[in-house]
Amino acid sequence: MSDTQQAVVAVVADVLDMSEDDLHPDTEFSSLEDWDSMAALELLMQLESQLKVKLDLREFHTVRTVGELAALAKPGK
Amino acid sequence: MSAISETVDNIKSAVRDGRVPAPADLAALADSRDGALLRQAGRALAKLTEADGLRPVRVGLLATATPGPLEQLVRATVVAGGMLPTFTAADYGAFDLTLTDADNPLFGAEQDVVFCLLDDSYFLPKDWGGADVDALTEFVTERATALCGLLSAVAERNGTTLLLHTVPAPTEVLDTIVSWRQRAAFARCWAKLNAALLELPEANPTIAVADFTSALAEAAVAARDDRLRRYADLPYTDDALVLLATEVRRFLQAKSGLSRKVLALDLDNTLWGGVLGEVGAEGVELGGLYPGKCYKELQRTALRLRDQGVILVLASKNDAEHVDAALRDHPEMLLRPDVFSATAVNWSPKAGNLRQMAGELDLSVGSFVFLDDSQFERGHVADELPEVTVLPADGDPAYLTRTLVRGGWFDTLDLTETDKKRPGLYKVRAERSQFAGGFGSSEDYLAALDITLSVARATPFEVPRIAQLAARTNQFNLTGVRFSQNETAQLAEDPAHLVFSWSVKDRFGDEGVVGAAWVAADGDTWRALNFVMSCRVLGRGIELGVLGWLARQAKAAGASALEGRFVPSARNSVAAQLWSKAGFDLTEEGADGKIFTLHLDNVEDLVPAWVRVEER
Repeated sequence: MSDTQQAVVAVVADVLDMSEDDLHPDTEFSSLEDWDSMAALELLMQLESQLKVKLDLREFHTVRTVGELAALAKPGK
Repeated sequence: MSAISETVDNIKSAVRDGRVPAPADLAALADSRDGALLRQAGRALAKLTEADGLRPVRVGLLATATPGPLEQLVRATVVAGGMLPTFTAADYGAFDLTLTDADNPLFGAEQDVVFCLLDDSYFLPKDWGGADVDALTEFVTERATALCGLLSAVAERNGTTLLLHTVPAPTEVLDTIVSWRQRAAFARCWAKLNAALLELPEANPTIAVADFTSALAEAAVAARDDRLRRYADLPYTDDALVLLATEVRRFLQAKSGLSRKVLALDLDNTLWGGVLGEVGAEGVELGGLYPGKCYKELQRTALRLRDQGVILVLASKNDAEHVDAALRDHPEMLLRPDVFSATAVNWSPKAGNLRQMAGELDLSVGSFVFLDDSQFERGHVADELPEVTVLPADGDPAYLTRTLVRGGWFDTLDLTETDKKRPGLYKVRAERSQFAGGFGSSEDYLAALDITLSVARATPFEVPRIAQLAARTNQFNLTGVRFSQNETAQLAEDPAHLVFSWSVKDRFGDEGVVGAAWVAADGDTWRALNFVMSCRVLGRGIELGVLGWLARQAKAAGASALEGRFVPSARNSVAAQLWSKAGFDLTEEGADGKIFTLHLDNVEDLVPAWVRVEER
């Protein structure tokens, strides 16, 4: 996994209180327990503050997998 | 990962094992202003049911918008403050409706506080025309007046303790108004809204208001995220909500009697710059320009805390005579030797010194805040005495004053006369224990003290102090029933009840109001609902004097018996013998404590010979 993918996995694991080992680039958010709109917003907030990026909420909502989110959140993008 | 998730990991594993997290992790939580950290910690702590050592508190939450992570954040800060909260949340979108519903469980008597999260949308019309800014300000003013009315009604009707906060003005609205004059008018109307909220506690003793707008101005966090607001009706960012959650923690600590009473100060590089033993009294940095002015400002702040009842003590590794000379003779020194109620200037470990000073003052080390620049000393104290609040004085001295005050560790709901006199009282205590050396028996000593006990039926002036005693007294508290200010005021007015307090003075000084009792005083048997007394006057027969006075009142009113109750708690064993010492017989013992009875027919006067009782 790339650095960004690893960082995204760490944040997702924190937010959903799960193990990083259970998350892969092709993991779909909708398949995760406890995934809802509030969890999504918390993920957005934490991702932004830890990766020092600012995401567009519309693009964020089109993301389906961990890998897609990493691509969107890549610093300097 | 980072240190942030280490704290969360520790908390998670503690909760998994059913333990209260370690003091170091709770301290990290109390110090954190990081929304992400506190949110995760709060979520983990939701599973904590074993609460050994944490004071249970009940918190109601009511919001004008989506509360979002508010509950998690409040849980994290409140646990960090030594309490375990249980939440009742009002329905989303039913703010006004909830306030008008007298039977809503949110306003039940067992609730310690109901926190109201307010946001600008509550005060703004759905739409407003740019041509008529006057109508906009009128609308805001009407909404503010209506809200204040609703809140006052809840406070009066249900006696609920409400915690509110000021609301930051909507800058989008401000910037939409292009006229400078009209924009000022709108800002003024918003300032009045906040002033109206801040005015509420004056008329309603159960309402408290936190100044959120000032906290935001200092904290360098964004109040709002437009995306969260527009997408999910979330009014504030996590980091802004942390500021509010911290206010809830401070308020509940003050209300539950968990605020700290003593400030233990280090000297070198804390109260002055430099090391006294190396540079001498003339060489330390104090006063003048930066950095000396930072230390002087810290001293000034410590004095201001002392004026408000915080007891100052010294904990320094130094030679005592050099310290004495520096405190006495340095022209810029504000903290002279007489402002300290106890001192430990020696080369012994500081944890032991703090423990010893706590003994001298007859206070628990849990009431101490310790400020020191040395990481070693702080670590040592935190390790040995985890219940002490430890604050760092290292780094740039410009931050010293803020480090000391920003946690709000000394908060109190209302300042009483006793608070203001407390440092002096505790100083006299040390002198009294020296005077005790010269007497053959303790009765000779007590007789020589000229103790006067003044008992007073509660008047509106005494109610705040009585309620404070109820909240703060953990040890000499017979039943643990904590009557609030409101309940106390009601009972005081009720002819079927007797609420009274007592103060004590002796040749060394006036201890002020030290105890209170709530008594159901009608019929044949008078029943003491609770009896609390500050431990600092124990060992002088005061409690017997008080019961003697009460027995006289009951007898004069025609009652034939007096009944007392003892409900054991983790901390009140010191009071277990009160009733039997006074000659009461154990008449009932059950799950909810022991009941003792005294028959008044031919009972001797209980007042000890060395105590003079007067009624104010």
